[in-house]
Amino acid sequence: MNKKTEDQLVRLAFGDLTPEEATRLQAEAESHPDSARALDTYRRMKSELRSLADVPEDQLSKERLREAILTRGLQERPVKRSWSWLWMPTAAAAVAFGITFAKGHFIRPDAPLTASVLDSSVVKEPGDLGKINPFSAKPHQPSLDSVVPPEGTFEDETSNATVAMTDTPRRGSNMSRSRHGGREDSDVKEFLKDWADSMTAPKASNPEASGPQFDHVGGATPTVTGLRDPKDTMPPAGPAGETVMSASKPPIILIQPEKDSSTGARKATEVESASNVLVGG
Amino acid sequence: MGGDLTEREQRVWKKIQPSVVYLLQGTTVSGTATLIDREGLFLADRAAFAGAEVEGRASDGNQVHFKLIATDDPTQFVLLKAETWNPAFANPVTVGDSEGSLLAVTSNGPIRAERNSKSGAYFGVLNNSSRRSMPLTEIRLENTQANLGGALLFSLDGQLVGALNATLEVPGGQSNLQNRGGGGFGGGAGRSQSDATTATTAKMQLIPQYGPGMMATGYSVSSKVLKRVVDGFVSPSHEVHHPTIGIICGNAIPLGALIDSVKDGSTASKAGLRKNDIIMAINGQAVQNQFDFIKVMSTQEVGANLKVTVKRDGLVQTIDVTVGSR
Repeated sequence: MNKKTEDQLVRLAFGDLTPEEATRLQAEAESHPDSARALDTYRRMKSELRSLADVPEDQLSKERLREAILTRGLQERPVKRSWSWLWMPTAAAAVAFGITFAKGHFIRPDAPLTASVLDSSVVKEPGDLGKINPFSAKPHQPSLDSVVPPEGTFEDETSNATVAMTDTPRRGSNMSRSRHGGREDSDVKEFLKDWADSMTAPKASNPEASGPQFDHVGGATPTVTGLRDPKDTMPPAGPAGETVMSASKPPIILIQPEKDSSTGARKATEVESASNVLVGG
Repeated sequence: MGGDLTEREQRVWKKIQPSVVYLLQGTTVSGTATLIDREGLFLADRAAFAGAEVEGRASDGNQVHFKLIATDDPTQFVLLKAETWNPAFANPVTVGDSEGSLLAVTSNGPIRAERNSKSGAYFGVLNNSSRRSMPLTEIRLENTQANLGGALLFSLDGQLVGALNATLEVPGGQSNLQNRGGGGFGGGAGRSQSDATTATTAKMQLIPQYGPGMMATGYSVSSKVLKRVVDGFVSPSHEVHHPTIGIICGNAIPLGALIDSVKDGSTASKAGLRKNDIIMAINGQAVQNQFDFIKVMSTQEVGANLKVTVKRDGLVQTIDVTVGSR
């Protein structure tokens, strides 16, 4: 089952298709055991997510949420042995997707999972999360055009800072987009994504994929990995070997203090703009 | 000098020549300086001389003694003060912007040059502790006798548009045998290639040469930066104020500019930016890597207020930072 089919099944489970499309896809799913099983899973997830809204505030925590999903959302079912490996990664990915996808539709704005609009004066350290009352969240006005996290104290529902980042448009993803910036929500989503990722096979990241990886579903990993040692300030002569994130940008000119004997001027070397040259500004 | 110049170029040279002084290291001309203030303030490249004082020779043949007044680290331009200077001798140059043909005043006199890119199309980083970046313009010019260091660049209207900060170092040296078909500044003259074999060189030497034979690619600060330098040097404080927030950054993965260090006392430090913060946007402009960062910073002015969107420990926030100066 490919990703597109999965996506369609999720939409069907959460009621995001037109009646015609839903009928057609339902018929198609019923004719394929894998698709039927996945659809069933998603529908159960939907009901489980709905029930999560009833978790009292004082019991809401990342650990409890994880526990709730583990025990209530992903019980293993007997499947054909040859497809058993598909079950867990599919379910885990669906959980992560479903949480993000369905929240705006099925969870009340004042429900615990709603992103709290945080005051940055309150949240200064991770431990400050306990001070936040998730029930005090304001209803969001999702905007499909808004891509950027809110500015300032997180209380701005609409941000003037628009970021020209591309993003894979997802139906309903405006819900998560509007939540972007709520620390509690992003922590939960990030946790779920990490947990979901640990259950799935690693996917090859596509640097050319639209949008920053730290958007929406959980954001990027908290720690940035894979960086060149910042102390390595001297890039090799010629194009660097780093992944080219923006191949169309002109090179950066690194000017040495030494003179070029053939010209009498300082030496300049070109390095790819995507290479990790340290620059000051 | 200037024998190969066109009539127009010679007229331009004649106009600006009184404002240009050749700097001397002993009896050797080591660079050039140009008058930027009627009271005897001159602009030169730091690489043109060593020490805090230097002798020069004006266009009338008279010796001029200079003292180093100020140095602008990001651009490596210096301010020299002539000890005795007749204000009526020459007019200070004005800073302008021009595309296309230029006149480069080198240690051996003026030569033809050409601007190869729009002002600020490239960005350069000085390999020093500050790692300051600045917008650059690419220049093509004839390389004769290795005398290009600090060459002053004038438009054909007689305005100062740049100074050669550096030349591109390529494997095999800076020489490039021009396309023999056209002569002059033809499109065939590109950067020298490392695959210019000995056989090719020998073959080319047998062919009569037309036009410049040795081309160099160099970089000059943009006119905007040059004007900022000149304005700062002629100000009472002789200080140049480049916009900066006081950070050094590299690339974050997958996107963003990762702050490597924050200078103590800088506006970034005061605003709360920290090492390992990932800059995602500035004033709504996406910052996907350090190139975007310096590009955005190059358009800022001292005193401007920036809304810097950063990611720190998984939390995205926007921090107000005022652009300072250095």
